[in-house]
Amino acid sequence: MFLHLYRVVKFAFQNFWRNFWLSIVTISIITLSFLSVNFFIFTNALVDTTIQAVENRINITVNFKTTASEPDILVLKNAVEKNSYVESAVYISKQIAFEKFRAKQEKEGNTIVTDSLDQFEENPLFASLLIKAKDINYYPAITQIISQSQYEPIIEKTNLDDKSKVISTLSNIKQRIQQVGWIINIFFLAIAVLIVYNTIRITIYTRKEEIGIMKLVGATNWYIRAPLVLESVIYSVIAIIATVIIVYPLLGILQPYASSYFDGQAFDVLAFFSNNFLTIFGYELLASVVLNVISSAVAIGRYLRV
Amino acid sequence: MIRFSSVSKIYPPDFTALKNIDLEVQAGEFIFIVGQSGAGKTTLAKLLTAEERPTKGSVMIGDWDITKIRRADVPTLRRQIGVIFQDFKLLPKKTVHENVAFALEVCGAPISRIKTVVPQVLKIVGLEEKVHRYPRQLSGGEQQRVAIARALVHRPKILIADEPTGDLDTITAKSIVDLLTKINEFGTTLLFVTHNRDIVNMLKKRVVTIEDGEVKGDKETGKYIL
Ligand SMILES: Nc1ncnc2c1ncn2[C@@H]1O[C@H](COP(=O)(O)OP(=O)(O)O)[C@@H](O)[C@H]1O
Ligand SMILES: [Mg+2]
Repeated sequence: MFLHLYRVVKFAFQNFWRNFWLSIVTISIITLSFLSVNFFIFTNALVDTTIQAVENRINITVNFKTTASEPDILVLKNAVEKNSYVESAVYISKQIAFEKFRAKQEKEGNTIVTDSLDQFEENPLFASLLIKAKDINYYPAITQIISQSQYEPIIEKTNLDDKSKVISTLSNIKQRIQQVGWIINIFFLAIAVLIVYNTIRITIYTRKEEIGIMKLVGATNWYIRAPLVLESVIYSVIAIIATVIIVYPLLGILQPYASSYFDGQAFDVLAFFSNNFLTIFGYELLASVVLNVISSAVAIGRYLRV
Repeated sequence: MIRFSSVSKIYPPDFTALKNIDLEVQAGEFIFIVGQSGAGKTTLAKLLTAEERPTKGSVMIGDWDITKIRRADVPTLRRQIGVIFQDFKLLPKKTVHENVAFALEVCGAPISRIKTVVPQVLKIVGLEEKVHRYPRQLSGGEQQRVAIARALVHRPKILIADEPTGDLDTITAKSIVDLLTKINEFGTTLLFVTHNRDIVNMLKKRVVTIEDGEVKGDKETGKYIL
């Protein structure tokens, strides 16, 4: 078995070298289709991260009246926290709000403000509750809880920082990218499949003599067909390696732009590809191998008469 | 050993290459198949290797009805029949040794068998001194010897020689015929397709004459008559 495999691999590589330029062209086309798929993955990830970033900035801020007592506020906080829609509810007491504000002004060197702050005997700031939902669709429900009449006396103002317009725009863009992306990907994949088909056809043609002799001396079908199929698999393997070699430096170039695009919240494209390395390139290789095996098998069926 | 029973071959769409052929060849026999170009001699040979299927009738090798042969069994059949041609059909980029070894390799033969069989057959055809040459570095007769060596690697029971001397000069042709005669004497059934009158008349073997796809003559120790 090992011997058979060795010979098949040997014959496959012989074919590969014999039609060197044809092999290179074939690999280039497959690589191109891989690149197209990866660009698609990249843009998708980028849009997803953008949407995520925008979503993360959505929250409900409840400002409490200065007269509201802390226990009353905590009752509301507990009620909100217990709700299964809620991701987190952070209570910012008057005191903390004051210190934050003061620290901010000091940092910015607004001495007039800090000085005047010291003039107050009473803390002029609101206590507030910062609520994040598990999903953007849950915000209306949460708002309803808060607007129950029992809480009305303590609430000064409820603020839903709604970015749903931005999000729906982004979702639309994402859909568009996916539509166009699929068309482009299918286009490239179709070309790659045709090229592989044609390459195997040409290989059969250039090896006509040899294949004829193989049949003449009673070669098993395995020895005639397997090298041709394997040849198409070799194309995929080399193409995926080439893709990895091309994609990583490209990501390195795109990385600074991608991360500066989201102030603060970094989008690490390199990490994204590295973390999903096997998933991304593994499935690409698998899909390409399956397609190539099918297309070479069809070519063999059509052009290799027994 | 070989029996053709009412065999006809019509090439699509409607060209009749063989008509009602009845022919029996005994094991170990040396038989000439003669006839003009286009008579159907090669077609007859191709029926034996299952390269072509008869349109009608049956072809038996031993007890094996090869008209009903399954695709997967074709390689097994071909290993029992050696074939050589006018144009040698050697691989130009392989040496003598590699050309012969290739036939065993692609049949999955183990290395040990290749190591013993290849020198053996090359010795039979008298090329043990030239194993590392390429076909273009050999004379026509020597190239045909390589082809014969290759045809012998599976120790075939039948050897089909389709105009093996067609491209060779008289003296070289004679030496190839001598070699084939020797192989036949070792017990291999030999089907010698030719239209070389001198060779046929010299050997005084059985001669089957084919004309327009039909057997027109079958004579023991015959002569080439047309
Ligand atoms: N594959 C084919 N398709 C159609 N006609 C063929 C084919 N092979 C051979 N023929 C025809 O059959 C006839 C016999 O051919 P062949 O057996 O090669 O003759 P020979 O070997 O005696 O010269 C010829 O007229 C040839 O043109
Ligand atoms: Mg012929």
